[in-house]
Amino acid sequence: MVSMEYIKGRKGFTLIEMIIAVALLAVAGTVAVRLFVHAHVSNRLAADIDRSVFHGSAWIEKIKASPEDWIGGDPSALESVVSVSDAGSYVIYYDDGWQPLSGIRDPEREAAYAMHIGLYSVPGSDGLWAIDLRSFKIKPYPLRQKPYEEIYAVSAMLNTIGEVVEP
Amino acid sequence: MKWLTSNRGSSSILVALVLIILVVFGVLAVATSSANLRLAMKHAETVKTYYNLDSEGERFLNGVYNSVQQGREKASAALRAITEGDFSGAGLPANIAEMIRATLGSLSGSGARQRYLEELYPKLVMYYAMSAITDAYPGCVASMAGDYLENAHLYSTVPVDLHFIAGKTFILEHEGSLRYLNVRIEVSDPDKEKNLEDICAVLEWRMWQEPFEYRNELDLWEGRPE
Repeated sequence: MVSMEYIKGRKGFTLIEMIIAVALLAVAGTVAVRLFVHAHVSNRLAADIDRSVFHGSAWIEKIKASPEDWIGGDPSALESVVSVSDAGSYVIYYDDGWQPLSGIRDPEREAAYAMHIGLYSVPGSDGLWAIDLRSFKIKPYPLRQKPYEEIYAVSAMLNTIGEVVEP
Repeated sequence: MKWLTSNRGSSSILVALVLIILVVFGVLAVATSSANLRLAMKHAETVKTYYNLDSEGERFLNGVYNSVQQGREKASAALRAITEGDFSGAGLPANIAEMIRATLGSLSGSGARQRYLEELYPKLVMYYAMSAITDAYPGCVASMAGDYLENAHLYSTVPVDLHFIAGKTFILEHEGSLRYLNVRIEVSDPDKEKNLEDICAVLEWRMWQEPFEYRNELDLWEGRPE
């Protein structure tokens, strides 16, 4: 048996000191982890915005170069990655590495990003069309419980005035 | 000096140091990633501003296209009315309608009249198109080859170079600096057979930003080795 005099005389930490130390370490550890997660999310978001801008601009320029394929046409026949969701509404799905996906059945599971393209005739301006492009992150980012978060949105216009029949 | 040689508590110090370093690196990582995010957002905003300006240009181009188309429709209707002798139904100013009536009256033979009316068509298109463009965008017609109806062109049976230039500068403010888009469209020779894209030629579609910082510190290599 260890005598009480021995225990009292021994130098060391009390239980309270240990609890405080562990709590402080836990708080500091949590802060550090959250900082790294926050940095990771910001980096990911920055990269996603850059990719969205890049792919978005490429699609806008593609539509402006050949509007006849998109307005009244079927772009999915030319571009296998384009899915027609509605008249004048198109979706392109991308994987985690921003590679376009074609022929997917369950976008919620198979795709990481979705780019929605809407083409609308501008009222009061004959032959003028508006392109509305939005990109979304399908699964939520860590620390953000928001699925289908909008990353980037841009709108542009194009003219489709072609051959004119003389009255 | 005895406390210096003691190992007691060294692991706690090590853990505390590691945590401090982790937090410091975490803060640095957050600062870097926030800067990256700001840069990406700034780039995205720049691209949005570019497309906003470009859209304004497209809207202007569409306005010019539609004005020319409107001009063609009005010119056809006016010619039909003139052919039928209904000068008031042509929708032209009274003095111009009178000039056309006088010119037609002075021409002898249906062939000469037909030629005159054929040459009048593009002049009327230009007149109506220019009126429509000026109504939609006041002061946008930068230059024109004469006033197509109120000078000798009206009486001339010699083909004249029909053209005018519609120009406009669009300005948008973006993060404290101004971004400009200069659009110049030449409308020329509105022949019946031509489509609108051939009649309206885009001469200039130029975007720039002010203040524009130009540094000429580096000498350009002129392609000749020393």
